[in-house]
Order: sequence, then structure tokens, then C-alpha cells
Amino acid sequence: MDTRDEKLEGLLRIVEPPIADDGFSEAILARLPPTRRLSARTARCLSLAAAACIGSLVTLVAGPPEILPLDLLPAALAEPDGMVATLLRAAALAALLTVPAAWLLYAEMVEHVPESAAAKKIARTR
Amino acid sequence: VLESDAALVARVVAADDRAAFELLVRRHQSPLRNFLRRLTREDVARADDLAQDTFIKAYRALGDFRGEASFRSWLYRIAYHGFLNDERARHAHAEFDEAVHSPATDGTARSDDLADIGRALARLTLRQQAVFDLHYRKGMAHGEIAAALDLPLGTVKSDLTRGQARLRELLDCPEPD
Repeated sequence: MDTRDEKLEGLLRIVEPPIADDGFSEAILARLPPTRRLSARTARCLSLAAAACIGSLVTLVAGPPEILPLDLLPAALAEPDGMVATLLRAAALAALLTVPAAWLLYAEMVEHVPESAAAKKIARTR
Repeated sequence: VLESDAALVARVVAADDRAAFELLVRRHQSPLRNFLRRLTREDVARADDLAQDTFIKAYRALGDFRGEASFRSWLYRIAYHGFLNDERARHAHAEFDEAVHSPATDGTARSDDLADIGRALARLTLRQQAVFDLHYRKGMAHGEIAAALDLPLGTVKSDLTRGQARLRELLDCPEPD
């Protein structure tokens, strides 16, 4: 390598001046999509609620026929009185499905309510 | 202790750790912006827009990052392809090929060695400029450049050899702007 090549090599390798961040990183973070992962607590709540719904549904479908007499449904819908009774029954079934899920969600939330500053103060004074 | 890129990437992928991603951005923003500024002929606003898009795309695609190449070369790959797409959109009316295309020079009269080499570098094709920047300024090995620019290893080597010859030629007898 002659001196001319060495000089060229040296010039090419000159370290470039760093560019100050000056809010560049913050601008990128602000443009990021919302957090894509569920928090562990939310995931647990949803899993419990889904499990409760599935459990209730399985009980209704696979349990004793008195709970959900599907074979009588077409005949019941054909009569005006029967339709009201069927709708009431459907509402009762929906409640049966949602109550366990709601109870589980509520229990989970109560368990994880953060202690308020006032409650902490009271606890310290005791 | 400085956490490695791979460790920070793992934190982002596992727990969407924004603080880890911010560290990656802070670590790579300056060299990446310099790289894009060189390719865009010091169009600072355009280069910074492309750099921002690069980081956003990287964040969205981090789940697909397999770690076969370094995070740095993966990032430059996104940046270079983003730049080429942008360049193609700007030259939509004409046939565009980064292997032969070189951007227009700014025509600024500069006399010192550094300015001369800057002007000569600007005469190289876009691909050669990218190869030169990654090799000489970022210190990347040939294999890493090949991964970053999505080129065969032989092409990287020939771009360096031909680019050096062209630079010598240009420095010996500079062409008018």
C-alpha cells in the first residue's frame, strides 16, 4: 500500500461526529403502538372469566336435560305463551353464565385493589 | 455494566419493555442517522424521518428477529431498504438501480482533503456509498455488511475494490460538478 492509499484509507476511517439525541428517541417512543401485551392480572381475569363461562356452558349442554330442554325449543317458540317462557328461560340461562364470570372478576379485582395513601397512613398510626 | 443488544432485544420481545427499546434507540440513533444523512446527501430532515421509520419498523418486527445476524446489521438492513424505497418513489418516472445510481452532488466548492473525499464519495453509486460507510465508518466486517445490505459477500468485496479504484481516480482527476 503506497502513501496515497494510506492517506485515502485514513480519510475514509475518520470517525464521524456523533449526533446528539435532542428528543429523537422520545419522538420514536411516542410513535410506538400501544402496549401489545396484557398485564398478568388482566390475562388472569380474562382466563378465569372464560373458564367460568365455558364451565357453565358445558354444564348446560352436557348436564341433565331439565336444565336446557333443547328438544322442546321449536315447539315452545311456535306458541306465543311458549315464546315468553322461552325468552325468560334464555335470560335466566344468560344470568347463569355471567354471574360466575362476574363474581370471579370482582373477586380478582378486590384482591388487587392498590392500598390507598390514606389506608397506609391509618395502618402506620396503629 | 452495558447490556448487550441481544439482551435488550430479548427484554422487548418477552415483556414489551419500552425502556429496553429506548436504550437500543439511544445506542444506535447517531450512527444510523449519520449513515442515512450520507446516503441522502445531508438532507437532515429526510434522513431523520427515515431513521424514525426504521426504528418504528424494527420495533414492530422485533418478534420476527431471529438473531441470526447482529441487531445492528438487521437495523441497517431495514434502514437501507427504507431508503431505497424512498429513493425509488422519488425517481418513479425513471428506471432506478442503486447499483448504478449516484445522487446529484451539491456543487459546493471545498478544497481540503476531507471535502475532496466527501465529494468523491458522493460520486460513487448509492450501494457503494452504503458499503463504504458501513465498512470504514461503522467498522463492519464484510459478512456483516452483506447481511445488512442483503447482498452476496462477493458483491460487497467487489463494491469495495471497485469503489476504492474509482475514488483514487476521482481524487487524481476530479470531475466537474
